Amino acid sequence: MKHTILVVEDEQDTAELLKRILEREGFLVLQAKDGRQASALIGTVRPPSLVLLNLVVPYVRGPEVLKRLRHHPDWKNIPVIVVSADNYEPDIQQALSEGATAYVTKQKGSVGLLQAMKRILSSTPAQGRIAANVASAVPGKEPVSMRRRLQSNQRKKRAA
Amino acid sequence: MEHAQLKWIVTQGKELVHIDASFELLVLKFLTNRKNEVVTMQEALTAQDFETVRAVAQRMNGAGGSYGFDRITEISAVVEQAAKTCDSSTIECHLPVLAPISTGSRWSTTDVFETRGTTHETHHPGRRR
Repeated sequence: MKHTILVVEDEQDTAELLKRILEREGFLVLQAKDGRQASALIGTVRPPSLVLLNLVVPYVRGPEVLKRLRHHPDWKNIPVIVVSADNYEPDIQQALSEGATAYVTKQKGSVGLLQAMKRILSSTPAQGRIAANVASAVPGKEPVSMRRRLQSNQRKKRAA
Repeated sequence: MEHAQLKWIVTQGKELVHIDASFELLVLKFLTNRKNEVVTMQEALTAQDFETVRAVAQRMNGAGGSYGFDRITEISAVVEQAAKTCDSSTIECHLPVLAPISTGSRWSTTDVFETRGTTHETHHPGRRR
């Protein structure tokens, strides 16, 4: 199963470049051109394996998107890489403290970004692939979505 | 830094950038858009519209970094900071430097790195390596 990557980027040339590079690497790409579109996706589509987030996007700013993402039960554990032209250390620390998994400056280049993504995806059980893992671990059973697993866990907690 | 879409080459005193064939149209579009942004900033500067200069320079800064055109990133960052303080003289000094990077280009097919692809001779004045 391919990893799905949500790219939140308003600058069209950069968004197109990221899409091309990621698709060439075998990723499925979902795009949001501003924070409002990104917020609308949270909770309405299956969570991606990873989010690439530009903090300076229109309507709903990146930090607010990050906050909404971290408060959604299905999305809260999705790794988020902030991709920014800004390499000001306090801004990097702030993004990390607000829930970003990693911070990659655009000047790092696409190869550096891909390396960071692959490192994170290999160390995190991405949601986009969990269904396949469950299916292969339990032969004969239907794949269980993350939403159903979370709902099941919540019911068990309430019952306890 | 390393980019999937291009590689920089310095040969015989010339600075060349080799564009991966599959990214050629994207990079051409990128350069055309930057050229248009320089014009937008020049017009905004004439109108003393520093907010437009700042916003366009910020966008150019991010795009330049993504595409691997570091000189565009460096100069647009200077322009962005100058626009924040309404420093028109600094902007006036730097916009003419940005213009040839986006427009004064010569393209030729080559096989420097691959059998397909395009090498682009740049006019990056004093690009740092």
